[in-house]
Amino acid sequence: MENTDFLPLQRTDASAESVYVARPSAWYRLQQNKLALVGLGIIVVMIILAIVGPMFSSYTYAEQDLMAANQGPSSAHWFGTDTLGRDLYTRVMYGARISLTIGFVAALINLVIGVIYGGVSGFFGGKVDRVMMGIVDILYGIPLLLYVILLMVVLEPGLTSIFIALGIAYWLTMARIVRSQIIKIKKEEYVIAAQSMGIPSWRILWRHILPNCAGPIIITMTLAIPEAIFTEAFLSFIGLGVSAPMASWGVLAAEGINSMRSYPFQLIFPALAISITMLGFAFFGDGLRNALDPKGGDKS
Amino acid sequence: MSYLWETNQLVKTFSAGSSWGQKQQVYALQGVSLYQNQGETLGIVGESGGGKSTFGMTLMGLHQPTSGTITMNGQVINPVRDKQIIQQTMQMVFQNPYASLNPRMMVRTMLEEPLLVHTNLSQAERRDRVNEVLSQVGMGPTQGERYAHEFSGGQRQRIGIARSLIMNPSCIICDEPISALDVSIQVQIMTLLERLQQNQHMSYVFISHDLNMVRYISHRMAVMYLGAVMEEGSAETIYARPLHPYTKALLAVNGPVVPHMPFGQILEGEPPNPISPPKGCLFSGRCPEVEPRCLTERPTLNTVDGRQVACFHCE
Repeated sequence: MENTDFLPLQRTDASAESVYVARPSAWYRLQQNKLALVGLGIIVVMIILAIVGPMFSSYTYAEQDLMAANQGPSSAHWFGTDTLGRDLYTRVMYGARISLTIGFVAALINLVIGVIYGGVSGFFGGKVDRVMMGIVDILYGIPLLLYVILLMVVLEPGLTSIFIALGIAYWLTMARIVRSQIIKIKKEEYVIAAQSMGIPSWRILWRHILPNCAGPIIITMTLAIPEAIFTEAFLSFIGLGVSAPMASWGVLAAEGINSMRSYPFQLIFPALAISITMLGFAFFGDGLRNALDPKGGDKS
Repeated sequence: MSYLWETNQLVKTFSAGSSWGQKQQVYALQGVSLYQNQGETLGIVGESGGGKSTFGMTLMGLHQPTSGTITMNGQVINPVRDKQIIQQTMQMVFQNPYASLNPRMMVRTMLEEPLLVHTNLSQAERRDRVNEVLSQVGMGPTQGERYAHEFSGGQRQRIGIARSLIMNPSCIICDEPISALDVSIQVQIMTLLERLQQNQHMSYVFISHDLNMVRYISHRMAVMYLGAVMEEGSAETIYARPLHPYTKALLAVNGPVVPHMPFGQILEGEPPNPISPPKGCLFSGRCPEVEPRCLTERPTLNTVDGRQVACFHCE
């Protein structure tokens, strides 16, 4: 038997070209996913509304008019007014600024601190891992409420203290998920292959391991945004968050609950804003994960 | 002449937690002394858990040896500190072509990466070098723009070989490169390896449990059992006249070519736990020719009949 019998099939460039269909880019595949585009659209509209929304209203978020309290939606007050006669449309638009900021800050904290912390911990392993995960476990053990209250001793209640609270707590889940993914992936043969090629550790972490954790990272991030918005609502509800007359969606919903039976619109509008935004993030996150995965490409 | 690389009494132990307060050690390599000539294929065979892969990984600098020395290009090296020297001399092809390519990296990017890290080549020069290794493994430049999952198993293994070629090593450690492929593709890969050896005077460490393939491609071979070399010498001689009982047993159960030809005697039992290897000869527990001396004393490699054998019966 001649050795050449089993040589790889040689193709001329022309035929290889005709067989090969260029893989569409991630952005193109995101565009193909209609649901993800809807999600992206919702997020963009919400951001724009948060910036320019209050300009369409002739009221300010703090202006009270007790004569016009608890009015239903009308041409004067698009979303109606609350118990103190403040224009609900203006307040929801202002609330979007606070809630969305908190959502994005939480996502940023997750992405930066959580991914780097979990990445370093999982990649280096051993003693480094044990100490770093010990710290995470301790932080997990402290109830959110406890250190938020402690923070209030030092700081005024308000956005800054909420950001600090999120900064302490909101990357823990991400750090754990990234760590477990990395421990799994660093034993893969392609990582060992990269090591044997002499690729530096940071580059292996950045180019070989982290891209392969993209799915769980994006999902955790999409979940963290609504969670942060709800946490803020909860903190504001018990008086530790933003203070009146400023209002986030959480505060507005909490106020609306008080008069849910008589004036349901006071609850419905902020709740709708929260729900639509959550849906937008969920759709977009899901689509983004599929688009970034070279194996994916279908909408499922 | 000097060898491409040579190991002297290479020992590698892994700690396996503790039992009753005592730290336990897994003896993965128990004093392996092997060498390789330029342009030669060294086959390493043995059962699973025999330390074949650990040897390849240690040689590659992926494990720090517990004791013993590695000499490469005429100088004694510290595998972890002198990674550069190892990486310039040797590269590795892995067993599972489905796991050894990064699923999120374009083949071209993956092949280009070591050039980016280790050399000052310009973008155009890197591109040319990548195209060159791709054509060496029978692939066109356009196929470099794809991702690993768009290839078949054989193609992937060829990409794995292309990756090992990119830094122009003089030796490739093939860690069971064909065991995950079907038979026709195995031949394709073997042909490719042979062609590279002819054209570039490449040396291989060919780790496998496929005895026929090792016989086919190897010039010299080593039989490993429980982290030690049992028999080492020219592949032809060992296949024709195995001396060590373990080699005999392996060859006896090697698939017969003639239908219905009976298998030889099948070895009983399993290799002992490498946490507590036998005190005497490592093979004593399963050896059909065992005698009292084998249980207390460990035989060393002796030159017999033009090869090295670690067995009291062959002295």
